[in-house]
Amino acid sequence: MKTSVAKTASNSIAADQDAPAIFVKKLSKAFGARKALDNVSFSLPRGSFLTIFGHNGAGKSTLLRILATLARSSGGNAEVLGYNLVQNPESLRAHIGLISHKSMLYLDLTAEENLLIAARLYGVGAMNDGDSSCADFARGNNSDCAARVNNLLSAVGLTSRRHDVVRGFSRGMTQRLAIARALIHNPRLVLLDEPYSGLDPNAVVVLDKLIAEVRESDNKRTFCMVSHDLQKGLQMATHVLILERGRVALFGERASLGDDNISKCYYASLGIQDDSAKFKDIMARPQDTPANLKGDFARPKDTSAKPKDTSPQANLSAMPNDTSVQGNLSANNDALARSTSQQNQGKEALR
Amino acid sequence: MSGSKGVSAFKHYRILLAKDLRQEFRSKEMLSSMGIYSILVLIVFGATLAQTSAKVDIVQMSSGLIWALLIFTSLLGLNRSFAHEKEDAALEGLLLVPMDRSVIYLAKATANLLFLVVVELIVAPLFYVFFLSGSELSITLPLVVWPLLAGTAGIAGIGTLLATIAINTRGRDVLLALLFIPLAFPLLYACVSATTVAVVGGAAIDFAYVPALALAMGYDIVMLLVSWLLYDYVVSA
Repeated sequence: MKTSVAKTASNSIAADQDAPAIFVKKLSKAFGARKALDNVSFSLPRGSFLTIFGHNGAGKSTLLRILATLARSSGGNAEVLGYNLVQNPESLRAHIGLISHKSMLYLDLTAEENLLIAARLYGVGAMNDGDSSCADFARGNNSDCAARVNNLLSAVGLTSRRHDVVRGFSRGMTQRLAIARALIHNPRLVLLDEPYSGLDPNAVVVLDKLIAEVRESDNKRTFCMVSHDLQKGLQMATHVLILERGRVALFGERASLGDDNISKCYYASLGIQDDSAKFKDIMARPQDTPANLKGDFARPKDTSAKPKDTSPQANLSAMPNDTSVQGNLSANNDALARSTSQQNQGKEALR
Repeated sequence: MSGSKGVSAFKHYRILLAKDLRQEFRSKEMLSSMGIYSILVLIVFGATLAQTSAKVDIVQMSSGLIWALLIFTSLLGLNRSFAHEKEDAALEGLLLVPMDRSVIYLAKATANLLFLVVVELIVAPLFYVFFLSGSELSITLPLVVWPLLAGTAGIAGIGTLLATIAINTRGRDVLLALLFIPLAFPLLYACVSATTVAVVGGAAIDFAYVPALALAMGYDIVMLLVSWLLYDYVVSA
């Protein structure tokens, strides 16, 4: 660790490939007199999935925004993928994808236009085809750019809606497009800020599957997710971070921490009495999956797109198409009711 | 400066400018609101000055009137120019792109400049018909174009920076006006002077027109450079 800090301190633009995905030391962020983050320190290895829990105002989103270079820290040191956040933020941005509860899309542009703009800005295809061809890719002249956009639209099941403006999309469709946009440049670190908020059960399943596929496509890719959903957060996590009033209440590998420790710390951070029985009950509840969301979830692939890029990173083509998602929505009112009931139970359990 | 792999700052600028133009031509939010507002203000000016008998007074006042119209119309447009960026946090998406953030400013300022020029192309002929039909167009027009261009560039330049500052505040409409009008006052003063001299004509053209125009252009250069340099800080704060 010290080696990597020393390397970035010497203004090395190239990142240390062996450095941890995230290395944070005594990181602080203050808004006036209020400290949103207070001496936060942890180190996350590459290929991990970190879930950050904490009460509202604990500093989860602030931490994520600092890691995404969208906010500046007030003190401390942070390195992401070997890049120092203060010295090399621009180099780091090429390797970060952020999925937030806000889509970061232009609602008056079409799905395809949004992805094309992002692809052009990130220079997708520029390395292979040169500058001029990337400029032309919007007209279909850049095979890499166009293929990447096609693949991602297919992966998130929006090929048939590619020419529709985003303003007409449902929340789930918008979120799926936002994921495609965040992954357009094949980032090595994916930051997720409450990505499930406001999604219906079908969209949750689609998002789960998409995240799983992105994880499988590159085992060195690191994920960092802020979540209030204990069950989903822990199901995905290899590492857990619990923040309490801007301080680290718990950090470690999910397996080594153990459910009892996590439960105790989680409830303490929320300011409610530890209830291991409720925690176990929440963890034991069945997740919405393609199997228990009745209906034809095992829908055919979106065949209207013909992906040219068959690399593991780009080949996310196993996702359902949007028309079947819509069909599934109407076919799964019972699943929606069940899930809403579960969410309410979960909220009650946390009170 | 190059941010993303193989993508130059100029290419980023072109992509962002094309994005802004495409969005506006699809939604027509800025152009329609600024165009309708400016025509309505023209009608109000026309109605309120209809009883003025001395023609020479109107000609002398006309440059002040057109700049009042342009300032208030541009405030309306500038407030809307970041609406798309604010909606669903699209600006944050841009801030995540590895590029010089000043490019975002330059593209947005250029888009605002183009939209203001379009509105001026609609308003200026109407203004001439309403208030300046007595003056000789062949002499007035070449002299009026330069202060109009210098003023519009300054309005778009400084206005884009201030609109970025105001976008995340609660009373952004009022805040933008509060910041913009005092800061743009030297530009406004210079442009009104140059336009008045151009419209009224006479001996003043020889000694007053060029200094006023030089002041406007000097203001533009300084403020555009300051805005360019400050934008990264402003947008990151």
